[in-house]
Amino acid sequence: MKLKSKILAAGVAVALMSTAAIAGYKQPAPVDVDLVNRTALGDMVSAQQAKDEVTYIGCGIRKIQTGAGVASTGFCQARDADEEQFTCFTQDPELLAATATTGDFSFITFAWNEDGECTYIGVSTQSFYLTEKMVK
Amino acid sequence: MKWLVPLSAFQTLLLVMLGLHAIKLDMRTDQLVDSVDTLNRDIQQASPDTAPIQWAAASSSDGGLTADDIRMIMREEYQAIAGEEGAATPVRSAATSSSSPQQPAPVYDQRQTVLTQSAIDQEMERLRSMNVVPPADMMSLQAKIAELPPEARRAALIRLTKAINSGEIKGQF
Repeated sequence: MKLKSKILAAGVAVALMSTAAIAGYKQPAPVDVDLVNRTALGDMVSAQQAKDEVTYIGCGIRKIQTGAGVASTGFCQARDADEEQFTCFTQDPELLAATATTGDFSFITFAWNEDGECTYIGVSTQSFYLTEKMVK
Repeated sequence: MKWLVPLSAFQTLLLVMLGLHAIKLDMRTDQLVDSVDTLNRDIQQASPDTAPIQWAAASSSDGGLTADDIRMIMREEYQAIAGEEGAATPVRSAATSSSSPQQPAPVYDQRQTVLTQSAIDQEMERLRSMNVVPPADMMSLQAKIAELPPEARRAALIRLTKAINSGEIKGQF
């Protein structure tokens, strides 16, 4: 019985290893906030699975109905493992559209000016940002 | 040998006839070119008068256009032109701005703006004193900021962003 269990465990391990081996190219991008160069980048999966409780990255949008119409404000924010963090905002229609393209597994990069306004928002959703843990 | 002289005379005669015919053709070509030019000039002179002649004919058959008729025609023409411009405008506005130039600019009450700014300042002070700002409080602040005119809104967002980034306000957008 014991031997059977060992064989079964070995079989499962081999099966998992083989799954990982055929899971495709991986390129995780851990979150990094560069306050000197005013840029931040990282993928959502790496942030969510970071071995700490501080890392995050993402973009969002607020559309608020006011007496003068809908006011839209977009934002991107990130904090890395070193606890460097930044939040930028935007009211630019093009950048607002970019914030709306983020997905659950997106790589996000953004930059900002001295006023904290976003000057660049990049979003990319690629299979290689999915971790082995998720593919299994 | 005795045929040579009459043959050459006949050839000379033929050449002379051919030459005369060529001259005649040349003269006719010149005449045709002249007449085409004349026709072109006539058409050019006649075309500016064509519309008034037609208009006069139409008006005489209808018993004459009144000033009101003319105003109505002009109004229709202006509306058609305005319609064409209106159709082209949204494409431009979508590329440059979120607000359409066709729509009147929103009017902000200056007194209300001052009151809203004051309320935002008080709210930000309150949030500064909190250890962690709950999302609902951040949302409430953002809703107040959204009520401001664009430039004041931008200024308030800059202040809020700086407060968040410096850690004075411990909340998320």
